Amino acid sequence: MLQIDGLTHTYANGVQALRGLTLDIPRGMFGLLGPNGAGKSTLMRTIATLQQPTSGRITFDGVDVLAEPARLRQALGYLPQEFGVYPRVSAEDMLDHLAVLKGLANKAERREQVAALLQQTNLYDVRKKALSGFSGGMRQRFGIAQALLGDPRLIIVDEPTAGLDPEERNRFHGLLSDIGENVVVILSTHIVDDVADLCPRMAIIEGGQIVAAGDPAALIEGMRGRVWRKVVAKAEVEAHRQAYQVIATRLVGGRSVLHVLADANPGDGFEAVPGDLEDVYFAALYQRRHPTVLAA
Amino acid sequence: MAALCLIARIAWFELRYQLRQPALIINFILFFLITFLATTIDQIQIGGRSNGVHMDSPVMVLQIAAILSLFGMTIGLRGLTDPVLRDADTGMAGIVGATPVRRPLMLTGRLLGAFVACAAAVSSCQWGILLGRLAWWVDPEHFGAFRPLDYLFALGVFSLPNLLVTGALFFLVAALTRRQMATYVVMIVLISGYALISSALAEPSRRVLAAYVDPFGLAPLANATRYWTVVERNTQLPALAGELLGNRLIWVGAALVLFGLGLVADGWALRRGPRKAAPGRAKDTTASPAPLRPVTPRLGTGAAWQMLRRRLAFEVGATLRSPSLWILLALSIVNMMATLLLQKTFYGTATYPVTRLMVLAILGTFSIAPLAIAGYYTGEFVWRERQAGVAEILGATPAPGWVFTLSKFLAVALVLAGLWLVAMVPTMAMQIARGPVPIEPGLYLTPLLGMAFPGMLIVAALTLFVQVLSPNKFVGYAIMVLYVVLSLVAQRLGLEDNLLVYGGAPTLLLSDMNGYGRFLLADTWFNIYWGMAAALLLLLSHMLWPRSRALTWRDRGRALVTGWTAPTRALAVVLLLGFIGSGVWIHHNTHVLNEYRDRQMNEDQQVAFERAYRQYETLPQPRITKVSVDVDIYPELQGFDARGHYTLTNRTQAPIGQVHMVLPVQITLEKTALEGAKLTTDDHALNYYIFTLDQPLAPGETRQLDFAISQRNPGFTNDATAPLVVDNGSFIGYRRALPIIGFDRARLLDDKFKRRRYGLPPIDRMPKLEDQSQWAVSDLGPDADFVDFETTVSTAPDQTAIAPGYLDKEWVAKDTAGRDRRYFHYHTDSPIAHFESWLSARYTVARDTWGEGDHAVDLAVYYHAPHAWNVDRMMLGMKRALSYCSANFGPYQHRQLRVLEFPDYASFAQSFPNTVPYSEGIGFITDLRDKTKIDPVFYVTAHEVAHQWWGHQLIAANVQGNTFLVESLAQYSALMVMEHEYGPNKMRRFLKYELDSYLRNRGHEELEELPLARVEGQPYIHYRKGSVAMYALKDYLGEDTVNRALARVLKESKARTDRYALSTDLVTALKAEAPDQADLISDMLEKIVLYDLKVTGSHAEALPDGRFKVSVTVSAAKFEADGQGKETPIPFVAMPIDIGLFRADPGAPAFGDHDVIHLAKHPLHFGEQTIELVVDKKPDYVGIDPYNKLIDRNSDDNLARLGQSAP
Repeated sequence: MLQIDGLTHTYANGVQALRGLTLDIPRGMFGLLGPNGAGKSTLMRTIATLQQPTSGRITFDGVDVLAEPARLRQALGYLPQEFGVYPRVSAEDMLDHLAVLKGLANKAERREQVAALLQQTNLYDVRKKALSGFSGGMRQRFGIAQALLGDPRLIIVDEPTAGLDPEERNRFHGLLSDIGENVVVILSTHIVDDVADLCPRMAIIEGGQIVAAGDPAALIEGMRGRVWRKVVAKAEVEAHRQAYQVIATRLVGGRSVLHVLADANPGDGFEAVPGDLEDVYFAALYQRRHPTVLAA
Repeated sequence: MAALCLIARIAWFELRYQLRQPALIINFILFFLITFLATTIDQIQIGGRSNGVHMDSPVMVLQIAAILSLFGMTIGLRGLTDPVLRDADTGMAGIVGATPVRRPLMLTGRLLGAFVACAAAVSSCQWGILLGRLAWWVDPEHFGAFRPLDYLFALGVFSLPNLLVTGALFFLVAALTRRQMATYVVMIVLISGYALISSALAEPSRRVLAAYVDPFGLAPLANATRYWTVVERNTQLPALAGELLGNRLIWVGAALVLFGLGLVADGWALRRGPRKAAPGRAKDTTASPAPLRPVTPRLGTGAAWQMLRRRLAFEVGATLRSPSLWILLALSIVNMMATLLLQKTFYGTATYPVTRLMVLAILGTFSIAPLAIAGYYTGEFVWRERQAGVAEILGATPAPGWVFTLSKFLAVALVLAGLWLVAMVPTMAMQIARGPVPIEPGLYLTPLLGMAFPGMLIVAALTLFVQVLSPNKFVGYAIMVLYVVLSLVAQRLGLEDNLLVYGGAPTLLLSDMNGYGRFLLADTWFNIYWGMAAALLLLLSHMLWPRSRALTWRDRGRALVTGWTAPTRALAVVLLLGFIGSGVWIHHNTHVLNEYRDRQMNEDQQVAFERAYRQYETLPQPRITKVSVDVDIYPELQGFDARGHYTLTNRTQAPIGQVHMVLPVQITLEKTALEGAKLTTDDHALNYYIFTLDQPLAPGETRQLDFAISQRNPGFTNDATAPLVVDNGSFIGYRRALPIIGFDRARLLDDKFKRRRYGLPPIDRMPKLEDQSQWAVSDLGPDADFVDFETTVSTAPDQTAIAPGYLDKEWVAKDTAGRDRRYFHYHTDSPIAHFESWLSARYTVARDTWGEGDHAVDLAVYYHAPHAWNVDRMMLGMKRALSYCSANFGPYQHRQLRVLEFPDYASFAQSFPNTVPYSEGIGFITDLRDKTKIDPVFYVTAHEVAHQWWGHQLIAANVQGNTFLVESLAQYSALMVMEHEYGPNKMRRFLKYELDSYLRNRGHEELEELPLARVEGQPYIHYRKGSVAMYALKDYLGEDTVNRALARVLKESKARTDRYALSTDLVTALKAEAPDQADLISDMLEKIVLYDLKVTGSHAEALPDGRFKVSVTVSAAKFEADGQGKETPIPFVAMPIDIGLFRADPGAPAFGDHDVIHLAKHPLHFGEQTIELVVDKKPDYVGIDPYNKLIDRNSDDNLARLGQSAP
């Protein structure tokens, strides 16, 4: 559905946010995982026609997005990473306002959809309240409501669950998975669980490039037998870093739990772990950041 | 001790922090530049300055410091509120609040540091002047000696205290509200409240109160220096005492109290805690949500218009909900009402609120709000989405860019239109309250919604475009401020062509008689032209509409290249063609049909004229002895043709070989011929022509000069100057139309400094009184004495045309083009001064007669029909003046006298032979219903009628003192006519205005103040001092004595043929009539003498016989001033001066003769003295020269309540 081809973006200050990124995104939920500063938002905004790349091509359903941004916008639902609201405007008014701007010209249809979206996002009871008084979670739900206005065939949600409490996050996931079957939904996040829970397809982005892509299950499968775990004292972490390919450390009960990448058991008290999406993610980042070690 | 150390360290940190703030640095640079430029270039001025006063004179240094502290409020506004607001705004509050330093201590330290930093920024205005002294391009005569103390005085007495006062107020507000916005609101309230109160207290009687109320110290400074002469302004600082010291102490004290309150308020606000919006909390609904059905967006034109409507409603709603709009509107209305209620009066008398004046009041005082909307709100609109953080959500919708740009633009337009409609409400209310004047909605709407409104939309479009492009809001605002400043000074910087200054258009001149004239046409075309440009900017804004926060120039460039669609391309072409087309049409009108001239071109022409022809200035020339001109006025063409001939007579003792002829710049010479002469110089560019005679003109011989001239102002012009001929109310004065024989001195560049810049030698303002070569030259013009005059004037068939002389024929006929024309033939039966005018308008006429039998004089007032209010007063003024002047000075020379109204493109009245053109702006609409007020209409009429004697019977020689004979005597005659009609009480009030005006204006003299007998056409001397001096002479010599002298001078002047009248003739005659008063006459007329008379104390004591012994202590001083205002005390003994005892204040309107207990002249000497009087009643007021007959430097201290000293 959505093809991204050789996308490069260099900001005015010289920062290269995207470096020849190529990606093919099919229908359904697609997770885009990457650390802060990896280029996720630049990619999202570029797909959403809010900025023009330095070079590259994007096509959606046969439409050249860069040449005809207006056509893409007709099919687009976009929830930016950060957004604000007008002061003194209620949720219902704002949603109706945005519906008009999306081209929902028929008043009855628009009303019905706005009401349905408010109910779906559980904002119906507060629809008359000013958006500026909303909590982070409510605001985020409003964000997803507006992204679903009309009949979007491409939905881009950028870091949607940041700042949500677990309950709100679950509700949000439920909403996304309901709609994510027939349209393209790109979920950009740095939270591995979001992708693990929702997405049949995913890609990991780092340094403006895709470092891994595919079906999460297959990716996890690819890690089998290559991730090893060891619990050490904090003081020993640095020594282990020198000796092994430590992809992640985590504190548990005051001691450090290390995950290292190795094709065979490194011994030295390491034990095998089954590996999960997080290990896939960290391994991908590690390999990207330490290309020489890999070569060695 | 430790606390002090801590405060010092906090202050030091604050100082370094503040000095790094860009706002502070920008403010410093801005105020430095403003003062530096005001000091070094003519185009920018702060406060009033006249040429003789140095750019860096003490008064200027203080004035600039005081005025700039008004604008400099912004420095304290940020700098002194930052210490209290910063923590919360930057999110540092938690960290800073957790330190052990107590909050008041912390704030005190910060305030100290901030104040030092702000003080450094505020001192920029002193540095600007100081460094301005180094500018090499300024004429060194503009600077005085370097006086470092002046700058310290300015800093210490004005700049710093004012910073303290306003800064303390802003600090208190910030501490209370925790909002920067609140301080801005307070600043706006302060500025407009200050303007309001200042104008309310501008009346002389309220000046003392004003001196203490003014927080910026401008009023006490003005009071202390109001009557200072040029020398005093250049060399003195006001004493830090009295009003000035009191004012400064009061306000610095107030500032310290405000700071204290601010510290208390801060603690209170901290305890109260931050305001928190109560968040709504959604309940989980258990009911199953409605199913979500997708709706396919429809994106056609219909949907786009729906989007536009929705956006528009949203933008307008958001604006109407913003409190700042309402504050701005309220302040503008208050400001406008204040201006209306305190409108400038004519000797204290109000004017009828005719719609034209109401419109001018709206345009004049209501301009800030529309400009703020167009230049500021539009910017807020553009940034609204990005600021609220919804830009990207909206940007991802399919709504096209024009939906956003156009909705924002239309919202601004709606708000602006609403604003102007609201502005009409108070003015219409005023018209109803102060009526009876017709309320003319059409007259309101055309200039406001037809002219000012499009002008503001053009600015709004520019703002929108600038803000769309600008990387942030503040850069956009800075660009708009720059645009506003540049458009204000563009004209002064030589960029006068309105085609080149975005939004430029000529000023709309309004007249009741002539309506909008052609100015409306010009404005409309310029609005179309700039409107096209504005629409193009809107189109570009649509293409460049920022859909996201981070946009690079590359993105913008790409949008401009690839964003075109067929409709936008077509629209752009149409707009561009419209822009170019209207520009070409305007250029055709302003440059081709009419001659385009800017200031520089005018100066160049003056210089060229002087270089080429001044060599002929003293060349003997024949004089005009007969004028016969036919003038055809074409109101519909804004032009006239004239054909005529002069009879020239050689009145010199030698033959004349060349005749020189000059035409006014705007006049085209069609044809000319002089009997027996050839045109040898034919300079059409400078309009200078020289005839060389085949046979020189022998003494006494005459020749006939024929000429045909024309003038046309087709279409419209770039500048707002009224042509001689307009649709209704043409006024062609001879000096602006007819040929002049010989050189024309009026065409020389007269500014002293400009002359030096062009390398021209200095010129005298007037020939000296002793210059006998000018004694036989009339001051009305060197090319004629008395002339025989006849004219045929034609005009449109619905108009009346009038010229000096008697109408002996009137007829309607077709002209050569077949148009109906109305013809009038006027002739005189005795020679008149060569001083003629032709007027034409659709007049209503009121007629009356004065005198009877053979001596009856026909009186007429030709007026614009709706202006009938004061016609009877003019009639009465004519009758009373004719009676007084003919009884006292000699018979009136004509059988007819008429007043003619002309449009308010100029506000004067002028006396031509038996004809007085009188501007609609100065008497016809004066509201004379309040009988306690001075009647200025009667006064102006009497003054102009008196000119039929002083100026037309007695003609002054072209030397110093000429206007004393003409203007001061007309003024004196009018005063006497007024006194007989309205009584001496009103005269005293009138003379107080005259004295105040004289004393104020002598401080702005550019070259040299002169005594009346040597006045060089200086209005403040020949009108204002003339009134006071002649009235004093009348008081000391007696009215009859003065009138005898005047009649004698007139009679002698008429009998004399060798020369015209000199001011010395009158001085001699007065001294001959009153030899015992020779010293006083000399003081008043031949010297600049000022008195300082003051009541210093008094008391009354009851005597056993029921009477009262009153002793009055007075001080009396007299000074003689030189031309620069340097004064020398003159001792005197036994000068009779009025001492008065009253039961009421002689200044009160109800004051009458019965309130006078004692009023007599007592011989006084220089210095303090006590006079004892025994009177029947106990007085309430005592006074020395209480009626202000003498020229007193401080006329307010001549009167005091019993037992008190004068203020």
